[in-house]
Amino acid sequence: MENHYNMQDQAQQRIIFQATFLLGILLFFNTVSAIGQALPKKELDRQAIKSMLGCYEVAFQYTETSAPEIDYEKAYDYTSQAFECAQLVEETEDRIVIQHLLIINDSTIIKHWRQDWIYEETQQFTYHKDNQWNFFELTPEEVKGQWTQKVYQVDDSPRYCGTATWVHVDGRSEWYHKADSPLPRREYTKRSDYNVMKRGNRVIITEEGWLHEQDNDKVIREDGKEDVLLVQEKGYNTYVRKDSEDCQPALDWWAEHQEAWAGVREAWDEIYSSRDALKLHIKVDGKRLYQHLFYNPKLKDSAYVSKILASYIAEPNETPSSSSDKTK
Amino acid sequence: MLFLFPLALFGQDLNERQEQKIDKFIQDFFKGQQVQAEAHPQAEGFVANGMYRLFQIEHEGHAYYLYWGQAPSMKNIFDYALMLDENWTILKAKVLIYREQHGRQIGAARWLKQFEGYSIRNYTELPEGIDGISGATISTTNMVKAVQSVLEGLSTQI
Repeated sequence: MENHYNMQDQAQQRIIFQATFLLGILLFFNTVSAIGQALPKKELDRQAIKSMLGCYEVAFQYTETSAPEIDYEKAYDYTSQAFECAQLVEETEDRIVIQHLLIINDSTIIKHWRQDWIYEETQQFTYHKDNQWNFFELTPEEVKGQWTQKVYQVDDSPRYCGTATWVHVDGRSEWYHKADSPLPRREYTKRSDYNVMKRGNRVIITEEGWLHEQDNDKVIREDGKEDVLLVQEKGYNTYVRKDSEDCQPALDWWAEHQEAWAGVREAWDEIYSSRDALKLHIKVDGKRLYQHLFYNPKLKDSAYVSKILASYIAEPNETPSSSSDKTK
Repeated sequence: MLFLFPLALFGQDLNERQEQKIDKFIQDFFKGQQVQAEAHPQAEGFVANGMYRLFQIEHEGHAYYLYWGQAPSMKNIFDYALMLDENWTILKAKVLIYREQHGRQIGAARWLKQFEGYSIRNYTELPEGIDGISGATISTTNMVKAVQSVLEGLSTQI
């Protein structure tokens, strides 16, 4: 019986996903192409954000461009590709939450990054350094008409955040913000010559899907000193839309695990709401946080999840552990 | 501090930035392993502006030689360094400090890689073996001349 309901749920979810996806695309390009401004600006913004939902073939390309110091040796270019499903997780008038899921070899699913878009959001966070994020508040006037993008890691811990205005001109929709962030995953364990990435994030909605264009500064941040620019980097990540059927394994996986991850988000929200700053250990008991959370049958147990998350929180003056030295 | 760099062996004019750049050049070359640079016994033959230019480094039973020099760019001078092996063959060349905007392409690793393999035996082939860089003609020409002159000096004095 339970299986029957699960199958019904999945079929329902598939239909909703496909309908949302198709409707979003149709609405978005109809309205953008006929920007007679028939729709309110906020609705255009929402449609642009929601047009990132769906199935995508993603190509990642990064290249270091210029460095102030002549003796800096540029790193090798980085290229990679992936197949991703961007699934709508929450939607209200002022909030759209998109969960990205990686699909590997057509069937293996890995929970990837998450982006929350919140309209006129006053609660912001920024990365400081040493795995610490600071929370702060803007005034309603400062965020008027803007959308905040909050980006979270695979374990739903924070990554970076920024608020800016969506722009719809000449049949094109885009959003740009520069945010301080930790090192990207591709360099996290390989580089120690810089400690903050100032990410210039430009999201451009295209007919084929969307483009995540980046103009990044790799900087060295030390207390009491001005940031020192090590090198600049161009990122060019293309998301090309594919048939929604190709995402079915990811939809099935999400249907099975979404409840547990909703609990993880709630546990994090509780932590975020009670702090001015959040410093996290990189490893506890020799494991990164996602290693504790992924494929863990106890993930639906909210007390267990809260305990795990709490074990990663470091004291403000504590140096975050990076190896197995921190134990629960 | 990974590197024991005896400043006293440099003259009085080596500033903190030059010291850091040379230190980093050595650090990068030896991939963070601790080494000690000392003035070469014949360093007095390679002194410019009151500063020693030639150093020796022992590492895992092998001798390496570091040469630190300066050459003219269009309106200023730039600092460069060479790492040579025990046969006085260039293993690595790098521009350490460049003091103007024009011609900064000289710092490109791909261009500097062309110096690798030149030694006290084949330095006369240098000018023909190194491609120029558009927009950095003066600096690149001067770097080639400087390196050739260093190798020639080493071939006659060491």
